[in-house]
Amino acid sequence: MGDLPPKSTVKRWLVTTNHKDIGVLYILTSIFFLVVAGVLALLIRLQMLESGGTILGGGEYNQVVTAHGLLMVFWFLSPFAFGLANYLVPLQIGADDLAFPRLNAMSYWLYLFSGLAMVVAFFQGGTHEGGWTLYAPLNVPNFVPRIAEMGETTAVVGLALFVVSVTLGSVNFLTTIYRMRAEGLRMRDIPLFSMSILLTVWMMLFAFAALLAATILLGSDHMLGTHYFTDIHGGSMLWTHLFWFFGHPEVYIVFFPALGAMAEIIQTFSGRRIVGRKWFVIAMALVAIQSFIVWMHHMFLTAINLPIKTVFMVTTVGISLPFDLMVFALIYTMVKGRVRWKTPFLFAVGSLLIFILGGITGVFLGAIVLDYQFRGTYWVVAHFHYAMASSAVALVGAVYYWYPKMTGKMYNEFLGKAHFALAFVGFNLLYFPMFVAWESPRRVFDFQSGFSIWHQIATVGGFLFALSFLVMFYNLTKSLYSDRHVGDSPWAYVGSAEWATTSPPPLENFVGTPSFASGRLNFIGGAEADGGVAESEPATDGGVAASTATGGHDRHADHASWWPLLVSIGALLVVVGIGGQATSYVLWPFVFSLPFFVAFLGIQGARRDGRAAIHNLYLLLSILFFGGLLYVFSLHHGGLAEGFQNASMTFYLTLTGAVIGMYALVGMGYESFHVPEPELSEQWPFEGITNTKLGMWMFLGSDIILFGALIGSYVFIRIQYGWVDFLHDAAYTHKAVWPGLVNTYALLASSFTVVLALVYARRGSRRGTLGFLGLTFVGSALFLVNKSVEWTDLWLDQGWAYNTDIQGSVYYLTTGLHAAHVIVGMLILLFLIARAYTGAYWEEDEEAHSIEYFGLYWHFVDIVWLFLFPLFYIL
Amino acid sequence: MLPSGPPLSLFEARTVAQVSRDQVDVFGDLFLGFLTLGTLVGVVVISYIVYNALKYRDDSPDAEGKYDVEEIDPAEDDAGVARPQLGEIPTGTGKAGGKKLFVSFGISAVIVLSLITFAYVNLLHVEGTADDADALDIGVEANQYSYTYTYPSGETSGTLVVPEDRVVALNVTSCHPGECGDPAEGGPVNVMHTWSSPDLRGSTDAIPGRYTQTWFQASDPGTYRVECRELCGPQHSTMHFDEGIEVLPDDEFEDWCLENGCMAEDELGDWLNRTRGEN
Repeated sequence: MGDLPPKSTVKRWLVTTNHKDIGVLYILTSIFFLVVAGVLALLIRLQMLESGGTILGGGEYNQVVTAHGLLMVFWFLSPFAFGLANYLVPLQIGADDLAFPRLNAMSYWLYLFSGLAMVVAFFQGGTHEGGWTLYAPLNVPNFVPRIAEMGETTAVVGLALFVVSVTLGSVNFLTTIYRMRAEGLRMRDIPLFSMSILLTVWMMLFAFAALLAATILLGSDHMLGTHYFTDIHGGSMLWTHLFWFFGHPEVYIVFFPALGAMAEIIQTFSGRRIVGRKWFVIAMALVAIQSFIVWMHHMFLTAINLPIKTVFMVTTVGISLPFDLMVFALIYTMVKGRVRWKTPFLFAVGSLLIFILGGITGVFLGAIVLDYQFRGTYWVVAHFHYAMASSAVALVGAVYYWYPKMTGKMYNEFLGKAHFALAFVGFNLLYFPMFVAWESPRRVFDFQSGFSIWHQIATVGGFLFALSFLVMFYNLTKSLYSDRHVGDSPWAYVGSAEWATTSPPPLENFVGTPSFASGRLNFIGGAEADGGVAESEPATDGGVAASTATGGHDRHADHASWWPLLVSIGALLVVVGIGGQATSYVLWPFVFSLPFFVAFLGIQGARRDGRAAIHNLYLLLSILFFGGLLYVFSLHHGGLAEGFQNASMTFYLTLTGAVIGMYALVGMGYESFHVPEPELSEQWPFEGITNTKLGMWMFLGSDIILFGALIGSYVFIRIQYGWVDFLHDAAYTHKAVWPGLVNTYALLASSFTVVLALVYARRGSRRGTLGFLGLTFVGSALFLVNKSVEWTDLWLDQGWAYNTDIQGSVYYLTTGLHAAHVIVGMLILLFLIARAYTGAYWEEDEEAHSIEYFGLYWHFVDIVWLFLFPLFYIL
Repeated sequence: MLPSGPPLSLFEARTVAQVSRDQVDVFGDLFLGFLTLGTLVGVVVISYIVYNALKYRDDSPDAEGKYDVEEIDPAEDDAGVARPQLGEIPTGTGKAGGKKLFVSFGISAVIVLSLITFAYVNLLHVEGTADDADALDIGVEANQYSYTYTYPSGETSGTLVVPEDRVVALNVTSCHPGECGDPAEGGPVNVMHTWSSPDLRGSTDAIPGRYTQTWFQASDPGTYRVECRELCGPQHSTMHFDEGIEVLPDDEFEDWCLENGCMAEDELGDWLNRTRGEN
């Protein structure tokens, strides 16, 4: 499948991998979640009309507050921005799509389905009720009403799924921006919106990995009964560190795209190039880095000591400085400009005003002694709504700004201005009273009577603000059918490349290949922009304008695939089913799906590469494997029939989801999907490698943070407990070192064999490649067998399981996550072996890249073990 | 801790139980300072933005067939500023405007640094008082959904009864009633809460398994509100007590304390005398 059906068909939207389509899907879906979370907000405001509120009970109100926060922060704000980013970044940098189009589609579907899971959670007995910050130990099973345990788990796992979506997206955008820029476009030259997206995805790559760690630990506490957040040595403090290490960069992740859009809009509508562009970019980068060292300002009232508190006060108040510079740059851009008060400009400046209030009141919160009083009050609520909702306002402006480009039509300017007026008044009427009534505690509907009038005004403002969105929906929908056509650009004084193509752009984005080699944009092999010169020396920053060997497109680029959607459907079923199972069942769906994976390798491999002995072997092995698992399952549950009868409906739901997911992943692996790398592009500083290799490195960067957070949690807990006492008090009798040693040797050897496999593949030796890939598999199998012997002894003979004590929790979960990485590696190895058997790595120009990418992953898995071994066996 | 033993000599540093600036004063000063400066900065910056947006507004009609003004031919554009051009490599405006930017940045840096200093000085005072004061030490245990106060004798109370004009130092945690001091292995002690007195400006988190500290000094007798400010369950909204703190004059407090056994009689007398201020 490669060609796209027309836009009027449903199928088109299900299979598309084109960035412009996916951008539109993100924007529309995020608006859906805006409406859901907005209705929840209006419920809050209705409850707050009168102290003591009678519309919702205490637990219900808490669920509404929690879901409002989660949905707005995760499922509205960033996806709204990324819809625009998806559409515009390739256009702005002169690329024809993102680096990994199918992964891009998968990001979208995982996003949609994770959000649907959050909504489903409401109906599974109730969703989380401890606030979007999910503080511990309110988030553990002991404090969740029994009937809501399933919904609670769905919410946590749904959030984890969202993190997967985001991680795929960040890897994608990073690879694209670094390696697919038009010739002559240095990193410092990319438009400010793309620059802000670049910094956003850098932050996302590292911050979300920490959140994934937190949700894995929390999910484990729920589904496996581990003690991370129930034990006082982990507990509240562990959660707050993990969550806020993610949470603070998150708020800049939300804001940065809006900032980039503001900068471009203000530049365009001032008719003046942004003042101090270089410093603006440096300031943005500084904030991105600094955002990772301010998180403890959310913890000033916890048990952290004075020197640390002071450091974080300085970094927090200090982070306002780069923001000051950016604000001034934007202001001075208007000076001596030709300022047109069009709708996008009104929203951009409006959001700037709002953000200034948010920023200033944030500085208040950074002063520790003030924070002692502000914490948990409406000051915080007002501050973060001014800061975060200003992003929404700016992004609304961005939608108006780029709407003509995306649709080819102009919106109604009068309605746009009316929207702004209504929105700006509503916004301030809603949030400013919260500063006045700041002493009412947040998440509380029983407040002192003196504050009533302010909360009532806020409710009026809330409804006005909500109404303003309706004006926008009406305007943008109706304008689609108007006759206000636009050419390449309806705006004066635009600069970036998206305005140099039609509205909307063609599938390949441009006619001809965009190039900045001459010092300005022109198109090689197509129409010239402004009659620019076609040939000139490249102006680069020391990097190489790399060109690929293939001249012209002899292979047609693919744009459509069913697999991303199918993988995501599998994931959705898993997420909504997994919360309903007993601990003894929860891992089995995944275990059972493994032989299915092997069988699919056989079946789909035969279809793609022609049936060979290896495919038959896999089919046979999968049956044997499945039989073996059935045997273990029957032992675990006291008989096969009993085991399956006692399984809940959700067990089968999860199992179905896992099997569908495996089928789709195999299908995606075997699918022939051609993504031509650009012939000529700026690639500094990543020249000389492929897109996929860079993507793998980026992914591994995120995985490093994931393991770092897990190892960090272990170290944190162990230090709190007492480093040596921790081992003394553990419930095992004897924990040997030698199994760890054997495992270390097995993994190191397998890293060696995978390198040899690559060497032989490059030499074209089938036997060598297969032999060493096979040995790598054997090494990893040995690792798992050895581990299962060790765990059988510890668990069944000594009675020390993951839910026995905190020592068991950290040991089994950390090494278990690593073992899961090993299993994933083994699945990929089986795929590589099947492909190598049928000669895939000896085609013309093929350098066995797949084996190389796998090798990188495998070395990472081994290096992680080199940290785990001393931490869990020696020290 | 209430010191016992011989009175200190004149030349030894002596901690006092009455501070000249209590939490209300500190917060009031800080808040006023930040509010003034913040409002000033906000008003100036916002006005400047609106002013410029108005002053440089270009009301020209939209160009024929387009939705925005006609771009001026660069040859005739005498405004002296760099205008964005389609397909350009953006270079910013070079030197023009850079100086203004640095001056503004410099001013904001001065303001920010002075705010940090101002906040830090007050932080030291607040943290120092809790450490140095000859205070009444009370343990606070938060749970779902109330607070229990433990006095030096070990007696507990559901209301925090304190004398006026004395530093009261609170050592706060969260635990199930009856399980405090001995958290169950692997079991949750209670959720996180916050103990907060809006009028007396004492506030700190109550974290299971940890202890946090705060203090206050009440200058007027009466009852004061205590509220929880960390979401702690379905009844969080009602976890507030209008008469959670009762501040009594010295003699009434002495009566209450003796009646309830909040501390040993001679210790109580000593402490009250030692910490009675000049007023």
